[in-house]
Amino acid sequence: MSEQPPRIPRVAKGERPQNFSDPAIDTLLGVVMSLVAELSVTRDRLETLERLLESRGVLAREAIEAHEMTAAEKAERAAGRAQYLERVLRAVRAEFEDLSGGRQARTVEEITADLAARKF
Amino acid sequence: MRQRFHEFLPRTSHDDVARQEFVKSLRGFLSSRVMPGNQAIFSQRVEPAFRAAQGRPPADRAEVRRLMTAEPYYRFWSAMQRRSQELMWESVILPTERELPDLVQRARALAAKPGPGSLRLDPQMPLPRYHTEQDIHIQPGGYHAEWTADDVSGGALYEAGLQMYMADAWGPEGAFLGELLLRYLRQRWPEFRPRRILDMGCAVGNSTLPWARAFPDAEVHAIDVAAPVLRHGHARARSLGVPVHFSQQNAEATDFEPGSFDLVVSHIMLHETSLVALPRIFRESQRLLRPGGLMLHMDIPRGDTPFRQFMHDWESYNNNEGFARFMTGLDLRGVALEGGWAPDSVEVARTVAGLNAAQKNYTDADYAFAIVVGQRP
Ligand SMILES: C[S@@+](CC[C@H](N)C(=O)[O-])C[C@H]1O[C@@H](n2cnc3c(N)ncnc32)[C@H](O)[C@@H]1O
Repeated sequence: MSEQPPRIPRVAKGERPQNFSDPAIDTLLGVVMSLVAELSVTRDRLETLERLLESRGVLAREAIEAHEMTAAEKAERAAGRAQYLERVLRAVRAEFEDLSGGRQARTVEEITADLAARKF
Repeated sequence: MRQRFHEFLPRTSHDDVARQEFVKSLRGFLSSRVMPGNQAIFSQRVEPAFRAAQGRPPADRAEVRRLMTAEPYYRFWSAMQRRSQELMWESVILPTERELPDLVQRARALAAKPGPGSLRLDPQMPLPRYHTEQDIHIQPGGYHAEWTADDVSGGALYEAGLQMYMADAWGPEGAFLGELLLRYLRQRWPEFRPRRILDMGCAVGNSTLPWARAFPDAEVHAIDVAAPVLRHGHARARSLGVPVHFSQQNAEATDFEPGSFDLVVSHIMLHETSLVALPRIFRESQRLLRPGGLMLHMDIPRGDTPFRQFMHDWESYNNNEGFARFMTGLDLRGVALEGGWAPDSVEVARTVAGLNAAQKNYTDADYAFAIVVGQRP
């Protein structure tokens, strides 16, 4: 069999949306999100490794591949991942957090003006 | 390797699973933690500012769109939502591509068995342009592209993507929508016992199987325009031992006999068609039904306020669901009348699905599906 294995393209046919003023920002965000994803995969893998090392004291690649997550383990990981996302994507939510926490601040300019006018 | 509920799913490695679980977590985070911020920003800041300037609220979703797409918060959510969809497909393409030759072999072997069910393909059937212009929901190749002989990848990708799109809401077999519509039928017509059922736009038959299981004596047919999903669906149904007759046909005009079905259903097919196709699909459904037979076409919510409509329309601008936004505010009953239904025999009903925040993607409101319900006089 000298046939090439079939390949599925990674990119869909269709115009790609531009969300930011410069399309490079969209691309950059794409790269950043891939990094976030890959780091998450690495974290999961390390976690599997640690569990196995702990339980057996032996490291075998097949053991990682064969490792079946229990429902509880899966849930634990999902919770850990939710916290991980909360941390790495904090900046995205910042404005929403201002609004929901009643912690909207005045602008630096406004505060400076008040300070200069000795309002407080 | 991981467990699979039918022998016909691609096997996944440790990191494949980790990647897919990540995408689920990311989508859950975006839906429950970031997406609702758009509503907060709109109602607490954007709308009041607009009111102050114009003396009225934004009139419609187009106006909301103009305002919100200028907001950095919305832009970032939108870009990340798009990226999560791309990462979703990538996470299922990797194992599917690796296993594809084997999947094709397994599908062939299952198709070679005498039953249950059957598969009838029509390579001559023209694909509707609403499928070929853009890859719907940015699934590379859409439902229809073939990268190898007897390709099943479109189906394998759809089935795996389904699980992630709504954070496992669909259940392991992806039967959620079929079960939801079935429940609607049973509540409204508890005595109804169809003997022949047709599911239009069946893809891999994930919503078809609940019907076949609920009415084991019925002859169940399922059609789709795309061969890869049908091959996959046929092998999948066989692997699960459920008899379904799959055929490659356009729901706008099929080759079934008039009056030959008691029940015609579809699940989230309508928003992936067109304004030209819709009345034809309703007309064809009526033609296929015997007198007294029922038509139930169910589709996804489109929002009940300009803001929510704008949010649902996100998919049209960012997820290659070009037609979906035409469904927003569309008078589906009117379209059914255009398709030849009598005014007193057709209506639009709603059924609310209890979904959690992570599963709703674009809304924090009740997730109310629309059902075009017709009973042939
Ligand atoms: C979003 S999928 C829904 C699949 C499945 N019913 C479910 O509940 O998950 C829409 C399906 O409708 C099919 N479809 C779209 N237009 C069609 C048409 N005119 N005739 C038959 N199938 C069509 C597509 O190929 C696709 O498989």
